Amino acid sequence: MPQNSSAPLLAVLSLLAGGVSLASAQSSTPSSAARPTVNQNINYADGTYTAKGWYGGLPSSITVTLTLKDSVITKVGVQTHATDPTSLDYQRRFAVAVPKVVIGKPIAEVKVGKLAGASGTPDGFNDAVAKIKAQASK
Amino acid sequence: MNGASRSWSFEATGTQWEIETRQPLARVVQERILERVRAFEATWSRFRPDSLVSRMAEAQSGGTFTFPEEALLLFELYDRLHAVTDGAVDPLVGRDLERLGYDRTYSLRPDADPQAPGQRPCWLRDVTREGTALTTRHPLGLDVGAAGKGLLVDLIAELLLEEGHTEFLIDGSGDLRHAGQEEVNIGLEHPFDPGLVIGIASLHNRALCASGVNRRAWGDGLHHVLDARSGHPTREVVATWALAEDALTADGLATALFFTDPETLAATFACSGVRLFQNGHAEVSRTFSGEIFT
Repeated sequence: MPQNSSAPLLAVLSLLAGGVSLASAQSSTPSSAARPTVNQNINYADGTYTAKGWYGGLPSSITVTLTLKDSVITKVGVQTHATDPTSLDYQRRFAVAVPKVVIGKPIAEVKVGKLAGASGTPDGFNDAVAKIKAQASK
Repeated sequence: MNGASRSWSFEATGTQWEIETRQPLARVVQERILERVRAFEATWSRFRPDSLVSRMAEAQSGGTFTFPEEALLLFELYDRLHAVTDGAVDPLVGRDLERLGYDRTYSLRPDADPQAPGQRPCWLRDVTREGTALTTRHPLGLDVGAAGKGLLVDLIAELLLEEGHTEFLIDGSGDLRHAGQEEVNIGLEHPFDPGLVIGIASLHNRALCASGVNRRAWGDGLHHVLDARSGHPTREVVATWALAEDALTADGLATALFFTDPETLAATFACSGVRLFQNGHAEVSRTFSGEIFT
C-alpha cells in the first residue's frame, strides 16, 4: 500500500474522475458486419421504431424497439417471445444486458422527484477526508 | 411526492435522512422516530463503543448476544444472501472493514491485508444462531451495512403507518421506501458525477435501495463494499439499484448485485435491479420499471 499521505487523496480523485466512458454519448451502432447498422449518409427521422425478428428452427422471435434522435440510437428495448426453454434462456440473457454504454443526463433535464445513489457521505468520513487533505497539502 | 407534502430532515446512521409525508408529522411522532433510530444505533452501530455489536467485537472469549426482535428478519435475510452470493455477502466482514481503514475513528489507513481465506470468519461457521441470539467463541465484528439501513427504513415505515400516515416517502440517503396512490420517479445518480443521472426508476408502494462505490472510496482500489470471500473491495461493478417490497430486502439485494446478476437474484427474491459496470455497461432486470439512458 502507498505509504505517503498524499496517495489516498489522489486515489480518491482518480476514482471520482474514473468512469471514463460513462458521460459520453455513443454515436452510431456496433461495427459488426452481421448486425444492422445505421447508414451514416441517411438522416433517419426521429422517433421510436419497433420491429419483430424471427430466428431459429422453432418460431422464436424477439421484438426490438429503437428510439432514434438525430440519427442516433438513444434507447433500446428488447421483448422476448421464445417458447422453448433454451431459446428463452438465451433471450433472457440478451434482454438483461443493455447493449449500449450507459450515458448520464443532467438532473435538470429529467423529471424526477428524488435521487437514489449510494449513501450520502457520512459526516465522520467527510471530516476524515478533510484531515487527509490537510495532511497531504503540507 | 406529487401534490402538497411536507418534509422533515434529521441525522441518523451518520448521514442525512428525509421523510416526506402528505400531512405534517406531529412533534410526538418525530420524537418516536428519533427514539427508534437511537435504539437502532445502540444495537447496530460499529461506531459506538457501547453498542451490542461493539461488545460482540470485543468479547475475548466470545459469548451469547441476544439482539432485539428486529434482528430476526435481518439475520434470515443474511442467511439467504450468503447462500445466493456463495458467501460474498457476509455480515462478519466487519473486521475486514476495520483492517482496511474504515474503523471507528475513520483512520482510513489500511493495517494489513485481510486474513487468508481459510481463516476468515464465516457467517455459517463462526456464529451459532438461535432466533436473534448469536453465540460466538471469540471476538467477531458484525457489520450489517449491507442491509441494516434498509431495516431501519422499514421500522420507520411501520411507525408512520401506525400513526396513520398512508402516504410517505422515506429517504435514508440512498435507501427509499414509498407508500401512496401515485408513483414517484427516482433519478438514478451517476456513480462518478453527482450532477448526472443514468436512468429513472418508477417507485410505487415499494422500496428502492442504491449501493455504489463512489462516496466512500478512500484509497487505491479501496471502497466499502467488500467481497467477504477475499476481504478485498469488489472490482467490476460500480453501482447497483434494487427494488423490492421492503427496504431490508432491497438494501441487501443492492449489495448482492455487486456479486450476482439481477436474473439470478430474481429467481430467489421478488425483486428487480440494475447494475452498472466499470466499463459503462449495465445489466437490467426484465421487470425493471423505469429507463436506463444510453
